[in-house]
Amino acid sequence: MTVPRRTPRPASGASGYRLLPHTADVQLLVWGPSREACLEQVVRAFAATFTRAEAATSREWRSVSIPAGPNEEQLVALIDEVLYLIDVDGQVPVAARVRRLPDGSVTAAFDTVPTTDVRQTGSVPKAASRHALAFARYHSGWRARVTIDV
Amino acid sequence: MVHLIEETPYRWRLECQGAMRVPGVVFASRALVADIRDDPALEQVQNVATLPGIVVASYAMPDIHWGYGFPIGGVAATDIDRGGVVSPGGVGFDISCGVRLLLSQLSQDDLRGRMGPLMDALASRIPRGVGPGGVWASADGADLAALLRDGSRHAVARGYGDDRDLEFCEDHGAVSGADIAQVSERALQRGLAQIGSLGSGNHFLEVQVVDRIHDGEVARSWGLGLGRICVMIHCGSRGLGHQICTDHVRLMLGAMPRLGIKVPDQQLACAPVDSAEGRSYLGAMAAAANFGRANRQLLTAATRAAFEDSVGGGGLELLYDVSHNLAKIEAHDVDGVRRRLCVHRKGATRALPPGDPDLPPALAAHGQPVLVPGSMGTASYVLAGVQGGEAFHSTCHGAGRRLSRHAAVRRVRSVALRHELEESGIAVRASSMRGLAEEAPLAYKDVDEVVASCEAAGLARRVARLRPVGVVKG
Repeated sequence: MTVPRRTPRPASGASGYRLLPHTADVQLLVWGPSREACLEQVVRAFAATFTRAEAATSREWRSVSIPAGPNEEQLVALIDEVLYLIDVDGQVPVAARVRRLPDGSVTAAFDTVPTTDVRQTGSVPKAASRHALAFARYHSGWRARVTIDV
Repeated sequence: MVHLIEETPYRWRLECQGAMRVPGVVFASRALVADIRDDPALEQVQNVATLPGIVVASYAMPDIHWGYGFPIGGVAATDIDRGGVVSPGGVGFDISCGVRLLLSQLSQDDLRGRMGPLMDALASRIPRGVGPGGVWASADGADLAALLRDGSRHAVARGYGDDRDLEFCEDHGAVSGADIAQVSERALQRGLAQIGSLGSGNHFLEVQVVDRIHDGEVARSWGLGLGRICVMIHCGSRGLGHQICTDHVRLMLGAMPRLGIKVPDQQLACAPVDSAEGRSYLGAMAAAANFGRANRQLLTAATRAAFEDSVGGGGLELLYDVSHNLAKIEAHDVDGVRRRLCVHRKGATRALPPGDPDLPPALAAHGQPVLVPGSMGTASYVLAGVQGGEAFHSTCHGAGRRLSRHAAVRRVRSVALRHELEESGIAVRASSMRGLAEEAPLAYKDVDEVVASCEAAGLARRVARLRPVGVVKG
């Protein structure tokens, strides 16, 4: 099995994600007009791999800060934060607002639902792999790809 | 496409090319090779062959499939005294993911009409799925530290099992050299929340019955009689192990320019075993391995309690517990010289031969039990290590995936799958129906073919086949 070569070209201002097959795991392909928009899509895509949370009613906001660094490092760090919230706090981030500060650090405000409220629809991811990790400009926007260990 | 040369039936070679330091060797039947010819897993076998200090070959077991960095089903050893490296990616995220098999005193007839209550009791007692929660919910930081240092021994000391459980666990329940100072606070917190939990994905607890004997003498010696009920537990070190891998890959990537190491895939990040980064990872890895063994020990205690609740017990005794994601420092002959090697097994199982001093005396006569979980709905196997086993005495770790989770879900209706499993006498308790479909039998290679290939390739020999009658999944 190979990763499809054809990937979406971000329309002007559009953000989105796609879950791509990987034999034992799953790859997230996200795109958007900015790096921050891509990181927001990563959070949505991650949750979509194993939950359907629309019906959940009890919501909280959790904020984290990610230090300045290369794009790929910030992406992996964001997923680390998501995993921590799931495993330790029992909260599943289903969406996020991501902002970049002048020093290059990033803040993410996660919209979370308790693990007890989500409907588990698939296997729960456990880590972000570095295999085929990419986060770069793509046409007029940005695109990232990350393989998630399931 | 990678060019495979058939050296002998069940053994294929990938010639050295480019930056490869050793050839690749794939153990598989022609049918299994046909499944992987176009798979990126073979390129990963080549990539592993570029690691500094690698000796003999970059090996692939018959259940090989696409991983990241290393293929799953990969074995690679590096020469520690010649700059050999350790790579967290060669162990995998789920450090000490492994399998244990408990043998009951019950036959399938003894459970007739009682499977429902037993499965309900197991479903209730086995923490699994998303979020925090474990068998030992009251454990504190001191208990976690003791588990990381002493593995199953601490769980047993706190009443979750007995000394016999330790005797029949690889390394007697604990890897030496655990260094908790090398485990991040984040990893510790993820671990504390999940002590004694199954997780999800391909992890499971199965009630199985011995349905075929391949080697009567060994099966008798190990207590594997036809119709006997067993319990197989497949899980690992949960979020703690994953976080340790993430943390140490990051550290090694930062150190590699200074160490003068380049790798073709970032997930192959590595450092010499005999370096600060290498020692740090091995100390943290040992701690995670101990967590993994303790995790399976705690699930064993919960399983015994579930049997007690529902069928009045069952006399569950451990046959063996073995990891299939680990790096171990071992001595092997290379070109006729004894060498200290760091043997990575990622989705591969150590298979010690008869008489090996690391085996418990009760098992030494026939070699190490190798526990091979298949797919739910088909079968699992017990194999035995053999004299002269290649790949540093390693063999397969499971059936090996052939379809992605996406492809499995597209092809399988989960409700129909559950119905089919129930119709064929397999009771299912699953947290997620899609998760069930992701693990459908058609997503896996033919486990009968995989283990037959291991035997034909001289990696291990078959002892008994186990058929599932009850599946608990996260």
